[in-house]
Amino acid sequence: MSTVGKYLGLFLGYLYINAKGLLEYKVSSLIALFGSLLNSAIWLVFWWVFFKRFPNISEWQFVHLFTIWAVLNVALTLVSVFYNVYKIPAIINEGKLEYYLVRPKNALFHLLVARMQLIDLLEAAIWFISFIILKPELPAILLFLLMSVISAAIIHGFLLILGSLGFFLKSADGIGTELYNALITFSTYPNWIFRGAAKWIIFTVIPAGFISYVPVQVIYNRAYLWILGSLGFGILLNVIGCVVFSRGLKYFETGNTFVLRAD
Amino acid sequence: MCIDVNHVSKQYTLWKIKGWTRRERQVIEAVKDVSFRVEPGRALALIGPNGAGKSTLIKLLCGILSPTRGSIRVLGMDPFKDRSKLAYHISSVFGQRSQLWYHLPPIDTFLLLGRIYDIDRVELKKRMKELVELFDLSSFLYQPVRKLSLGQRMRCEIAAALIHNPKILFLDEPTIGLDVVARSMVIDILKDLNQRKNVTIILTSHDTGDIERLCEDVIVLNEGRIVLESNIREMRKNFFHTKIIEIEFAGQHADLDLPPGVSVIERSGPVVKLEVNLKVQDANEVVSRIVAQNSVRDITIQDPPLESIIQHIYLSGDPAGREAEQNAQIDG
Repeated sequence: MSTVGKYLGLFLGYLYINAKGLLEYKVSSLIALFGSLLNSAIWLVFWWVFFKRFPNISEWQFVHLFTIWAVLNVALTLVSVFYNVYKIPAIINEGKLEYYLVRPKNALFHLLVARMQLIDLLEAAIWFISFIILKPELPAILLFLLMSVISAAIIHGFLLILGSLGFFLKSADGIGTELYNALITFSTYPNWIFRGAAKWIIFTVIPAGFISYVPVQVIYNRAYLWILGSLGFGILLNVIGCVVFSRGLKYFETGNTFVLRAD
Repeated sequence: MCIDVNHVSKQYTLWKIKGWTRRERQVIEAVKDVSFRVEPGRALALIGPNGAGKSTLIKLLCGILSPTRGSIRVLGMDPFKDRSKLAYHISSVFGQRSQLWYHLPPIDTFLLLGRIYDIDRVELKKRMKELVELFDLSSFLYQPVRKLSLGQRMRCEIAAALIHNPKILFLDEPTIGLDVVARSMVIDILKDLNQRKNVTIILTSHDTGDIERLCEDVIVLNEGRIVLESNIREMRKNFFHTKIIEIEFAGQHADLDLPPGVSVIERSGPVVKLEVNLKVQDANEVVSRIVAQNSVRDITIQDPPLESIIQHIYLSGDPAGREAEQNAQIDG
């Protein structure tokens, strides 16, 4: 079997076992999903009321806000397929990384696919269908899908870098959570409010602009060059994340926390 | 050679915070200049008090950690550099960690491990069948792990570790928390694997019973150094300077007239336990003397438990190793 085949086999193995795990806890998973959808609905109602009163602000309308929210949610749910990317500092600090290090597969790939939040894919489907209802045009739908995948890659790369800092900083967990929360917060607001230095920040340190501003530009203004920019940035973040992780492995000193399965 | 460890040291760096801005670098050497070799098919125990460096050494041998100094070869490979390649030939069970999926039956973890180790379906089925029989797992193979007893879970853990037919099995406290029956079963299976299948076993345990039953060789570590490397039988011989004599008297007995080097360590009704210092007294002579002077119903002579030898080695640190070597030379 080729190397790609072996890794695909590993991915499918984890997909199967995570799906089985999900079925063990379907009720609690569905309650969590319902809670998440409710949270989104409240947010959307707020903006719907806002735009009812001010229908057009700096060329931004409710449909743009909805698109930002939909792209972000689909991207986040896609990242949930590699759920451990959120947990890297804890996996490092609690010594759970050892489970992956004593296996014959690449430790980072193995770690990332080991835990999947598959219930989130249902949420992705709901957002996707909502977008189709909002804008039933094939080019827009395809661009929406493409930008959601690219946004997922950006979020994943961002989290991978922050998480891998856990090899060097014991406080990486807290710093990472703060920066991630900032990324999500900046991603859910219309970008006209960010100017000057703030605009630079959302396209560099906290790349929220690629997740909110860019998809809207690509889907509604056909700014296709931005696709390459976002894709390149997403790849760059993931490459940096992989490098930081592999460098960090040399500093790995293991932990001795008493734990169950190292996931 | 199965394992070859040459002058290996492992240092950890700690930063001590001093005040608001200052911090001080502190280097902790968990393993200090350790060298040893293990032949294929042997069972070696790594023992030592907490913090002696046993787990660090196992992690170095598995390739989880890289040595600060020295070199390690496991099955001819550098564990840290060839970790992925080596992983197909070794396995580990950390008693404090579980590789089983807690909410799913063990069979699901076995199937997943088949994919992790690239075992084809036919081979995996055959291997699982063997392991299920060997560890007697059939009655709970389809029960979620969370519903299994600790003993059942540990049997599954070890079976899971053997799914890819490893040549070396590293066991870090595999019997921790197990009751006597479960512990005995786990050790019997491991012994069988070692003797029949020639699987090399490297065990760390605080349980001297496990060590005695399973291992032929022992390395005693203290503060990161090897303080003793020996065959267990040799170790017993070299460190036994005492014998325990347990006497059950037939009736009332007067105060015992004990020769020098003999002391009473326990008294319970008609049963008296004596400790004989073999450097001062011969145990047989003590027995003859007591039997001649008293009416005795039963008498047994025992070696002190291995635990007390190990305790002695821990407490005396390096000198213990030297003492053992000196004794070995005298005996030789």
